Amino acid sequence: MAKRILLAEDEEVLRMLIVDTLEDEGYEIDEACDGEEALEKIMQREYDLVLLDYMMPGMTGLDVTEKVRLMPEKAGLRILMLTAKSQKSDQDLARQIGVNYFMAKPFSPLDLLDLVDRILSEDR
Amino acid sequence: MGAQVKKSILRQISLYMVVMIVLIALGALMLYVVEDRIRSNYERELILIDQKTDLAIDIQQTMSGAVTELRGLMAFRQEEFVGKIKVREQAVNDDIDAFAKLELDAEGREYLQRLRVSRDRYFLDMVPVGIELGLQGDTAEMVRLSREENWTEFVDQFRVENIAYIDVLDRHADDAHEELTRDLKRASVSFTVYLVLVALIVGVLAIRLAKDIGLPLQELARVAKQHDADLLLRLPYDRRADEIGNLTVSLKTMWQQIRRNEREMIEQNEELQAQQEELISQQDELTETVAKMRQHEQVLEAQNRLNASLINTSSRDDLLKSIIQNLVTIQGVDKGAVVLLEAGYPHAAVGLTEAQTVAFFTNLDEGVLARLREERDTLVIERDAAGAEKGYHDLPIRLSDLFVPIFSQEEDVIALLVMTRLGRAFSKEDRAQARALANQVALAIEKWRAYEVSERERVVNQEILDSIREGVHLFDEQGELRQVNHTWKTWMADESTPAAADRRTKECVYRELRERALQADELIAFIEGAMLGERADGETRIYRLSGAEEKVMQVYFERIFDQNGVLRGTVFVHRDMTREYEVDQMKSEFVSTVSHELRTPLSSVLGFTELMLHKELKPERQRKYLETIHKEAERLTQLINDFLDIQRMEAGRQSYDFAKVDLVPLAKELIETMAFHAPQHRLELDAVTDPAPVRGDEAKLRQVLLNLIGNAMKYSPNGGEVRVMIREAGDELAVSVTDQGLGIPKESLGHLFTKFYRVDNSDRRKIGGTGLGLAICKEIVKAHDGRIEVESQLGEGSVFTLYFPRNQAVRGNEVRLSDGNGQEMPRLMIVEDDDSLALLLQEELQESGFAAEHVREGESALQRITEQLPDAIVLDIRLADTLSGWDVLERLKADERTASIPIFISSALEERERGMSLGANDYLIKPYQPAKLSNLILQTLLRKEKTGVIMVPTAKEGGEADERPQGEA
Repeated sequence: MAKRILLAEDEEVLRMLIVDTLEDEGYEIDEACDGEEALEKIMQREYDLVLLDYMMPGMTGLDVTEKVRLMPEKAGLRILMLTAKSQKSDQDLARQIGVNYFMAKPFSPLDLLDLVDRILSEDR
Repeated sequence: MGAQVKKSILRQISLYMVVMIVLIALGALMLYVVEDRIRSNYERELILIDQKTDLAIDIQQTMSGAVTELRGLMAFRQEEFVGKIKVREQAVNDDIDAFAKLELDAEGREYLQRLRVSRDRYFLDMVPVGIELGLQGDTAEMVRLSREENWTEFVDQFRVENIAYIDVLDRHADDAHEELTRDLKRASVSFTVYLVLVALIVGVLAIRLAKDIGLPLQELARVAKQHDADLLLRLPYDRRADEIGNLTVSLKTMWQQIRRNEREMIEQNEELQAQQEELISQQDELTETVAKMRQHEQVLEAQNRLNASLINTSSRDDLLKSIIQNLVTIQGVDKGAVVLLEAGYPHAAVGLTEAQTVAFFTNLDEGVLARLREERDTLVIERDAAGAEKGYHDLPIRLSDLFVPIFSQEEDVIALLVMTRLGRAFSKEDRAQARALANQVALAIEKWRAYEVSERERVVNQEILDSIREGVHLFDEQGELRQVNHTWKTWMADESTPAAADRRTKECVYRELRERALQADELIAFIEGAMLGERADGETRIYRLSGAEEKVMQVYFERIFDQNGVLRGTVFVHRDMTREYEVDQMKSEFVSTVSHELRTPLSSVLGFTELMLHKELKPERQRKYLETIHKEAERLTQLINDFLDIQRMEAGRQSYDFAKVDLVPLAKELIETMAFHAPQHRLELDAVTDPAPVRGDEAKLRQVLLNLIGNAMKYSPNGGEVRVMIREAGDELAVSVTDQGLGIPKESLGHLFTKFYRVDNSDRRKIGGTGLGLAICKEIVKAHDGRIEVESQLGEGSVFTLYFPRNQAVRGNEVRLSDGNGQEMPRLMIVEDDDSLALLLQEELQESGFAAEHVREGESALQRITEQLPDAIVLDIRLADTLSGWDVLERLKADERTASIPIFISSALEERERGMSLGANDYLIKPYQPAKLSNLILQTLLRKEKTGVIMVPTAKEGGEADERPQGEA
């Protein structure tokens, strides 16, 4: 069965880039335009992975992560954050809050695909 | 026992009490016994009488019965009565026997006698005859016998006698009772008598007790109370063995003791009196001594005062005054003066008028002074009093003048003391004392001078310190606040004490800091650490000070050591870095925003390119990606352009070509163009004022209007009307753009014109844009002396209105070379024979914000340069006329008017060394990037601080910035 991924990214173009890249490889992608929409979708469906942009209007990716980590039933949900903040201290904080993986912006879609493949193949 | 009792009053009284109780108990016992015996006697007698009575009655009845039965026998002649009579006889005999056994008195015995006689007669004489007669029935005989023999009479008599005896017994019983009563009475009387007797005995004992104990005690008390020794000694009780004897003996002993003591006291008293007299005489002596001492004391006091004033006086005049006043007292002179041998002759005197003193030191006898200098000792001059000195005296008076030189450490005479005595000469001791005092005074004066110098220096230092814009305070090694400058006190709002007099502890500073500083504890820890040497040199701390305006402060410290390397204190310097901090903050915020804004389109461009490079894609996908890449690249370009625009405008580097511009045709043209792109919007122009001329840069005004109309369309995604209205509003011309779109939330209105501000909701995010358009509009409008305003109702639409000044003289083509602040733009001179290259450079430099003039020949270049004195020169080596660039360079450097103008050589010749040695600032070898030149010039000018503005090279498309409506929006 195809893996289902939620993508939260406010920039439409980037959304398209990621969706195209991942869908070509057989992943099922749901899209969210901002943090609130992402949170709604996470609560409605089971995802194998959530890709969160850090800088979004309203709730940031980190805010979403914090909320998700408060839900016990979503404890195992893996979160990959797309962020321009590449400093270690920022990443440490994000990790503490509950982010599992990072992808630095600007990113290569193929690298992202690679990372997603690796994360989701851990299951087998 | 008796002796024992006599020894104790208590025992005596106890004995008396016991005797009394025993006597009373004995009496009571006796009474009881007697009474008991009386009662038992009486009872026994009563019983006896009763028995006798009973027997008598019984005998009486038995006899009567026998008589009756005898009569019965007579009558009935029956045998059975005989038996009965026999029984009766037996009963009578038994009774008589019983009676006989009882205790009988005379009467009893007589009664018994008669009883026996009567029985015998009756039963022995009469009854047998009777029975016989009865049995024969011979009644007549019977009657005759009764009559003749008196039988009946006998029977009656017996009965009478018997009754008589019973009466007697009765009477006996009464008698016995009477006797009982009498006996009892007698017994109680006897007891009463006995009690009286006992009472008498008790009374006697009491009297004896009183006499034996009470009286002597009373006597003792009386005597003791009277303190009469003779009476006491005469008291006779001391032989007694009891307490009174003891008491008397003790009292007597005590009395004798007291008497002995009294005698001793009297003796001692006499001795004391003698001593007192001796003491009084000694005291008299002492009083005299004290008086003498007091004189000494005064001298000493004066000396102390002198010493104190030498140490403490802070004013020179006070010091001198104190010196002379105290010396006069110490030395016991009549007048004196002290004068410092320096400019102005500072002086003080006692007993002299000011004129006299001045006369003394202005006419100071050089001879005296010379002698003093030579002999290095005091000098006494004796003379006769003259003139006023004599006062009311007729006779000549001898005066002694004592001159005392005061030497500095360098052995110079720095001051002179003179003291004068009337009559008495100065002794050796006086002179020695004067010398000693002079040494003290010398030290004081020197100290004073040193103090004056240091005080002057301190004041200068404090003034310097106060003029510093940093807050400075110094703690000594004890942590005491030694110095604090004005700036610091202003920040701490502390006007309490003048800087010089500050002697406070660090705690005061900490208290102030706790009130004012936001991270006070950390800061205090830092200060403490710095003082203790726990902080590395150069370490600083940043903190905030609260107040009307919050300040960001930086503190650094410097530990101060003396020549021996001993820590003397720590200086803390607090720097107000609020401005820097804010600029820094803004810069980093700006950088982070810009980087985010740039990263997004970059991500897209890179990402899609990568996909296209590495993946096999269908042609339509490829096309879609290419379109996206193109769009994002455009967006990136737009962003960079806008960004550079706003930078240039904010830095005042934007040049405007002001001319008369009619807004009506401009708006009309724009609307027509825009309508083509936006079929779902209705664009309307409402020109209330036509024509509407303003003074402005047409291209920039177009940019503003385009932006506003574009926004109006973008932010009304559902179409609707966009109306541009041009009208007069007072002195101003107003251009408003009204839409029926989404509107703007109230809280966002204030931020609209801030760079990169985007109204924060997801709807708007889908609408593209750089977030710079309105900021640019605002800058442009500002440059036109206008303003921009916005009104909006969320969900109903927005109105943006531009206001431009009207009635302004609109001049023809003019090139504005100054920014909004009236500051000149840097002017450049390009000396270049190649026109096309010159034009290229000129464009580049102009866009970088320079005003550039081009000259082709060396001569004219020199002429223009000396006229214009540009800020920098770009110089080619090969020129159109005979002069070469080298010549121009040399001449310019030789002329002092132009020598300091930076020169940049732009040449194909590779002679960099030569150029630099001739004084060129840099040497560019053709071909080179024009931007490199503008950059170099910019850097050089910045270094020269010709201008404080950061100039940023502008983009080529600067004139045409707008936010193009995007297809998806």
